[in-house]
Amino acid sequence: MKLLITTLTMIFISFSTSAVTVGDLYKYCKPYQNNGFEFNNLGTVQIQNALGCMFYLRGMIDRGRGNCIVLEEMNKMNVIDTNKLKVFSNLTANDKAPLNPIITSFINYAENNTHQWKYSPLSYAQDFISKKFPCKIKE
Amino acid sequence: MMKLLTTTLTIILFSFGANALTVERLYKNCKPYQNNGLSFDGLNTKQKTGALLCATYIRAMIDMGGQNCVFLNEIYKDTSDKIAIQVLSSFHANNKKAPLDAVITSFVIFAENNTSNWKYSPSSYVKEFIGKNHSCKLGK
Repeated sequence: MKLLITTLTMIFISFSTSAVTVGDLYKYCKPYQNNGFEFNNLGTVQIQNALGCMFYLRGMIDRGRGNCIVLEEMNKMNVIDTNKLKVFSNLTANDKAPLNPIITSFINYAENNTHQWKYSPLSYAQDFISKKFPCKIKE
Repeated sequence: MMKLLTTTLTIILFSFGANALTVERLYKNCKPYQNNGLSFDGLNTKQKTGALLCATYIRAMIDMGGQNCVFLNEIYKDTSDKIAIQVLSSFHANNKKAPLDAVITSFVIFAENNTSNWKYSPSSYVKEFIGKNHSCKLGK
């Protein structure tokens, strides 16, 4: 129980201060992905880390999807140039996306870009979310 | 202990993996934590796991909105469509320094005042519970 509280507190500190880096998130996600997206056989710390990984990436995916809906509506209303909307879409939005492929996409991205580990994963969402599940703005 | 945690996780994650969270599910995870003064002390294992879901998910929403604010500010400098960017910003973006506990409380209040929206995704209402109180400032 003490271990659980200590682990949760550590995860909370990193998430509550906006200090999550690509390196942190990679370390939370990797054991879970290595274990076939199963909790069985993971230790308590690894389970808590897996939850941090899942909830954070799910939040990113859902907000990106919400942004896509707004952009689609703005496109229908024709209030802004479609090409500009497409730029916004690439940077800030995505389609519905299943969680496990996004976790894998993030891990692949992190492993191929270790020089970015000290930066926020948000800066690279277009690489590991939007490119795989783009928000489609119609002409 | 591990069995309880695994069972708890299974219940919480039941509809989490494939689909977006709903306002209702997020509310049910956030409320015990917020009721407890945004502290873990005294929460049971299920409530603690729920609190982790609540805080981490909302943290991601705040951070994404903060990042979008940076992007939109860059675009705002060089566009003639300033009003459109302002509208977009109100939906897409927020102040990146929005404090987590305050946003969790705003979300809980929003959910309690808008039970008709419980079946939809919280991401549809970020304007209400994040952007309204912690807006993205353009042109700074």
